[in-house]
Amino acid sequence: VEQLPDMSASPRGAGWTNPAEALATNIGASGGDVLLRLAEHDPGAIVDLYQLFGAPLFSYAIRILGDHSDAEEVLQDMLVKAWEKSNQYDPSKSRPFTWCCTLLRGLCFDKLRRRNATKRGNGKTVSIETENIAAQLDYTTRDAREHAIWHEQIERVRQALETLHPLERTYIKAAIFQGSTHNEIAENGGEPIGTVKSRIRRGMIKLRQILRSQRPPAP
Amino acid sequence: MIADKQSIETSAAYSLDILPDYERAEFERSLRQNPELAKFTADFRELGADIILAESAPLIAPPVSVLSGALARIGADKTKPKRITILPMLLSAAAALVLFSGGKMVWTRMFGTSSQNIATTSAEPADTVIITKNGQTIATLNADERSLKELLAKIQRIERNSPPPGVIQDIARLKRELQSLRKADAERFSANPRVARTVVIEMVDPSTSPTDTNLSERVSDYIASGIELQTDPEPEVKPVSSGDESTSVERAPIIVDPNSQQEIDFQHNENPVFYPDFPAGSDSYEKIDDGRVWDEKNQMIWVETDVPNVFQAVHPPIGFDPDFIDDYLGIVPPAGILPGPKQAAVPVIEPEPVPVNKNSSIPAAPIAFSIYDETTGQGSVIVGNLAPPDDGDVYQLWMRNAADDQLVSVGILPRFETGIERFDFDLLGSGITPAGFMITRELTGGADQPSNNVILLGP
Repeated sequence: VEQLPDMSASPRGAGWTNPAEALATNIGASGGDVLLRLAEHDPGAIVDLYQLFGAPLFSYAIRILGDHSDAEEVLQDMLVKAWEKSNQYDPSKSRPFTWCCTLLRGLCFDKLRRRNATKRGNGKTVSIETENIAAQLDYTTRDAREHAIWHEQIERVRQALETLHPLERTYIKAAIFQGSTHNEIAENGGEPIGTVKSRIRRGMIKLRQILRSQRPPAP
Repeated sequence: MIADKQSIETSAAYSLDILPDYERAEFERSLRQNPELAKFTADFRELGADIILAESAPLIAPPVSVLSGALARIGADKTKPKRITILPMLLSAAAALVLFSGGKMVWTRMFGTSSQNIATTSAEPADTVIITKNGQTIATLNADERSLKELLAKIQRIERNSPPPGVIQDIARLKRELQSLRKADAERFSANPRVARTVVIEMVDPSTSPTDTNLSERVSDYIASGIELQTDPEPEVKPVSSGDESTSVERAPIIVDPNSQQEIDFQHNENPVFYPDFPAGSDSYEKIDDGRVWDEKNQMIWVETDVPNVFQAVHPPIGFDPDFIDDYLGIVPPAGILPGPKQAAVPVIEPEPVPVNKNSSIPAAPIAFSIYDETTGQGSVIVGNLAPPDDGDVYQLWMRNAADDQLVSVGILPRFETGIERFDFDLLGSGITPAGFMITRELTGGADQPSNNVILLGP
């Protein structure tokens, strides 16, 4: 049998690509190329986007929706939306991951609204406070390799969050994962709305100071 | 530096998407006028993404079905450039392919002849059941739990109306068949992969005596009165057995005359999976003003489209004819080529589905997609949920050349780990125009002709 070509030596370089492996330490800074290719309607870019951000986005959707099936549906919607809207992505305004998070977040809360839940999350949203992230990382199958790439970033943010006042942390997470408004947070937290706004402001500034020193600012 | 506390508070709220709409518009005007504030807000938004990442752990990989569904939907995007070569859907090979999406829609394709297709919609993965009597289709339904329950309830009502003995006998058999089908489906659909099928229940006339020539007609009338009378062309159903009992024959229904079919693709308006080969001009289909097609039989609207842009492979089912390549190519390969001694030494191994994500609600079945750009000659095969080959084995990619229908080796897939992987290939200058692809398992070094160890087979 004649020696057949190994596809890893294909003219396109690596032959089979795993974009996650190419991620820089600063997660989320990568992917700009993917979004540009999406804007050119390269279907392969969807695959790369899925590989790059699929796990964190899927996990985020589960966190908001509390349901795997709904999260799958929303993530699929997000991929399609990214395909359709990628020409609107402006790399000077946000990182690709941030842009994807924004898309996904909107779809998640649309989904929640459609559920007509009396309360966002309908009680399914998991606890705001999580335990040691490292211990919880789901190192199954080959995902371990990709998750490990995210691990450093996760740990940095976790450590930064730990420096916040517990209520600052709680309020910020309530905004992100439950879509709670200032009024709702104030109502649930039993604090004046002005105090809630101040806590979120102080928490965000503190996080910005810590994390900005560790990664380049937004473009 | 922004000293204004209120601006910072508003910026934080805006970046976290919790700013009320009436404040949002005003703040966005401020952002346009204040670059420093815009920069600050962008930073906050990045922080939000960082927190999402950190607090969404443990990270869970989404199932490949998310990607495949997105690719299928993107394939429906008519605005895409035409440079992507669209490969025709596989019309041969004795396999049933089901594209399962979100637990809400099931599309069944029976391979064998291109006209034998039927699409079903269902709230759950379900078979399509065709009930026939003396060669006449008397009912077509989706065998989902709800539909079967309704049908059984109707049958019970018929029983209460004291039909003739022959009818009672037939109805009792039909009831048994449906109950058996429900039970079998419950087991089958909980397994991996989810594969629906089309089942024809042929109500064999228990009495063929000349004294009761009208019985079958009356049976049909009774059943149809409780169900839904169909007026399909007469299917040529050949039951596995005949005699004084009903039989179930697993086959595809003949919906239209195969000779009249035209190459037209349709997609469902809510779940745009391509579905070719329904004929235009059939009584069952009516073109709507906006270009879509009303499918009377399945009570759904199809959107006519040119071609799919993603092609997909699934593993051939157990019991698949090992001489499938004849069907696949539509030709008889030269004697002695298949299987060669080298290939014969390799046992046919069913690939083990590998769970990509233990938390996923959708089982992980081996699957592959391919995309090819004929302008550059470059393409990619995306493989998901495929276990790495054993030591001494490799996966080999083959393309079916449109010009001569010959299978051409593209190369050996480099070793990979379980999960989703992408393999790029380059056919520029090779003279090959791919019309389909498949992946086989071969001995290390590959083979010059494909063995029967077909792992994934796609159009």
